[in-house]
Amino acid sequence: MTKIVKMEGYEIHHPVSDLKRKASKGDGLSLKEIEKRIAKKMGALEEEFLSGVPPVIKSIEDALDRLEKGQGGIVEQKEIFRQGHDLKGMGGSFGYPIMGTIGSAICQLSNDDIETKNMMLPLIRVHLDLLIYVNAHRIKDDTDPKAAPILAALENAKTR
Amino acid sequence: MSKYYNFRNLDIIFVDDNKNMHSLLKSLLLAMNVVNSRGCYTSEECFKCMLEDAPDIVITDMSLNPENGIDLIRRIRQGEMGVDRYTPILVLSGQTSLKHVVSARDAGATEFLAKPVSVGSLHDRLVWMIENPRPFIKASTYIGPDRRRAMRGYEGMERRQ
Repeated sequence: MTKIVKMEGYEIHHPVSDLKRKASKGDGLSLKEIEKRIAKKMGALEEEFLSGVPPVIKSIEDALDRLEKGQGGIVEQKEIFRQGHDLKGMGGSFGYPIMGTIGSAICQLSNDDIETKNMMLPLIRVHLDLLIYVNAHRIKDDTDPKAAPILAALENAKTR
Repeated sequence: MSKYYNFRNLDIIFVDDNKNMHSLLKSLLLAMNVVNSRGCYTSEECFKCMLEDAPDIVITDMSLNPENGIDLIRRIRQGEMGVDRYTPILVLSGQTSLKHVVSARDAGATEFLAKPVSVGSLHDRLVWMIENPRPFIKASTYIGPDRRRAMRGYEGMERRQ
C-alpha cells in the first residue's frame, strides 16, 4: 500500500519497494564471479555483434550515396544518425570501443542540429571508410598496432 | 552468509530496438543470476509484458526507433493501461548529453546509465536502485521519483538549495 503525504500543491508517494526483499543478501555472486561468467560468453556475443556490422555499413553507405548524389534528404540523415548512434552504444559494450568512437563521430556529423544541406558528407565518408577498415581488420581499440593509421586519420578528419 | 545480493528472484524487462543489445543485456543479466528477464523491442511490447506479469525493474533505451523512450517512461508514470506507475525505470542510453539526461529525469526515470554498458556498471546501478528507493512526487506537471535526490552518477546536478 502506497503511503501518500499531501503537501501544498503536490503529493509525496511512498510506494512499497519490493526490490530489497526480492534481492536479499544471501547466496549472491560477487562482481568478480559475475565478470568471470560473462567473460565466457563474450566471445560468442562479439561474433554476433560483428556479423551485424556489414548491414550497418551498407545502410550508412546507401544513405550517404543518395545524399552525395543530391537525392537524399532528412530520411537519409536520420538513417545515418541512427546507425551511428547504435554503433556508438554498442561498440564499447561489445569490446570494440574504436567502433563506438567512429559511431559517435558519425552521430555528431548527422545530428538534427545540422541542416541536411549543411552536412559534411566527405567527413562522413572518411568515417565510413574507417569503419570498413576497422571491421575488416577486427581492430578493437587504440592499443592494436593496426589502429595507428586509423587514429591519425580520425585526428586529421577532425582538424580538417 | 554471502554479503552479495542474489538477483535470482528479480523480474526485469528491457526495451531496446537493437537485436545485439538484446543478446548482450540478456547475457549480462543472466551472468548476474537474473533468470527472469524479458526483452521488448517496442513500447507496446513493453506494456504487454508489464500487464502479463509486473516486472521489478524496467530498463529502457531512449531512442526506440521509430518511438521514443521518453514517451514510454511518461506513459508508465501515468499508469497507462493499469501498469504499476511506481516501477523503477533505468534508462540505458548512448545519448549522454546533459539535455538528454535531464529529459529522462523529467520524464520520471529512476536512474540513468550511459552506453557502452559493462557488467560492472549495470551491476552497480542495480545495487544502487535496490539500496536507495526514492519516494515519488506527484504534482500537476510531474510524476516520478523525487528529483531532489539526484540520479546515480549525476549527484549534484541541478539540486535544489
